Amino acid sequence: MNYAATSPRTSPAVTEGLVCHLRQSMNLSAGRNFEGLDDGAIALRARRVLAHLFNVSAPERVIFTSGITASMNMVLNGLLKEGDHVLASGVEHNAVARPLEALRRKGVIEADYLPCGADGVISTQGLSRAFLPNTRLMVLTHASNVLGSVQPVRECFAIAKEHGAFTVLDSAQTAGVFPLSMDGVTDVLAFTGHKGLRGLAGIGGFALSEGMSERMAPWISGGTGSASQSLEQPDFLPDKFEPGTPNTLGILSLALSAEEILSIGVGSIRAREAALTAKFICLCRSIPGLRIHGTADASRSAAIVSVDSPGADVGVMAARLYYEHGVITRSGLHCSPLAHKTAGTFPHGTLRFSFGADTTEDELLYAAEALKKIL
Amino acid sequence: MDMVINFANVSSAIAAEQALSQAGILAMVMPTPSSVQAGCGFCLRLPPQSLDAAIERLDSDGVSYSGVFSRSVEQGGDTYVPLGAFAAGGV
Ligand SMILES: Cc1ncc(COP(=O)(O)O)c(C=O)c1O
Repeated sequence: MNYAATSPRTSPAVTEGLVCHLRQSMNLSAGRNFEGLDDGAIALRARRVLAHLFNVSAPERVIFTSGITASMNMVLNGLLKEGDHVLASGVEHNAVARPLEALRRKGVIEADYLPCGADGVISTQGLSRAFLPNTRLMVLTHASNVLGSVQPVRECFAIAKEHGAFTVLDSAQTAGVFPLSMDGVTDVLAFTGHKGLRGLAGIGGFALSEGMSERMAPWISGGTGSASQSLEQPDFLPDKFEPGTPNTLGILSLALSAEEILSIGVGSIRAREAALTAKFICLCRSIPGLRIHGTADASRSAAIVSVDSPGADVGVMAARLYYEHGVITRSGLHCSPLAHKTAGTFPHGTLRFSFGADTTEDELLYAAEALKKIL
Repeated sequence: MDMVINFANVSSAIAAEQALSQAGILAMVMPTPSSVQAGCGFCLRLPPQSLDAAIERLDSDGVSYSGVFSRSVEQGGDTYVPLGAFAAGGV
């Protein structure tokens, strides 16, 4: 029950597709890989399906990186200039908070974290007042990886646009599960392959809205297999932001899994996960001494339930759940001290249950029983 | 003689190959000859009678290309002549 960290396995169809690709690429003469054409075709297929999934109007605006951590570093460093002010939520993951902090310490930017309720949701009331004349960017995690709380992204980003700020969304906990539309909602959508998108770890990326590429400087540069006569990074997409040898196996895993997600339908994936979350919240409510953090409302939460119990060490709880009952959870600060400060669970942290494609109701019942036993 | 449509990157060359193949236009992707463009782009080679339909299709699909050339085989090697009528197109 640690899907918020990573999906434990790829689906059978994705695994099959990856194995098939590996077998084929052992036979060099069967493909056109001598010039990277097969890799290019796989990347194009993945860009197209992700553009469809995220409602991006041009596939070349889907850029591959190793994940959200790399994407956020590229996007924040590529967009921000000296003297800029940035707004982020009070539940950001360190993938956002640390690059911001690094820029702040270098004296490049100022950053403010928007106050959230203890449930992790930003209050939009008075949000306009957080904007300064030099506020250039707002970055939000769509759903907290600690509390599950879903942010009112559309509302917040609409206010950011009124103030002329760029908008950047961290979709780590929602891509592949929640309906996401980038066009008209956000300037940048950062995604990771190994959670709800159910691809391999080490692949992810970001999508850019129209015109954003011209505003963003490449943060890393290098060979692109194009315009090689020039020592300058090319300015066309996707090459501008994709120097170096691509992770083709990772990209293929994303293409295959996103195709599967589209065929199942994001709506039904979300409905299933929301039902599981609601069920588990209900089970947790009946356990004496257990506190549930976040919204405790599945309709406003990703498939994440964070709990603690006054006086109990969450690390010990996680260890006992695993060693005595075989239940895998994640305890501690979940790479987000900000979210725990917001929830009032810093520095001890919480015990986090998170659900995904293979979670069953029986597993929820079993985990809740186990939780009862160890308390 | 045949025609060469040049692309800035592999992504556009493959998108073009797929678009043309859907339209029933046969074209071969290959590395751009260095006499067309220094660097390492990709191009499509196709017969002259397919060129107009191919360009129309690329334009309508929004596939960007960086130039069109005619290729003639002469003694001592291939000669590529840029066709001014087709400036870089697409998006
Ligand atoms: C909200 C959030 N943002 C960013 C990340 C980092 O993503 P990646 O593993 O792709 O670097 C994670 C998970 O690890 C996350 O939960």
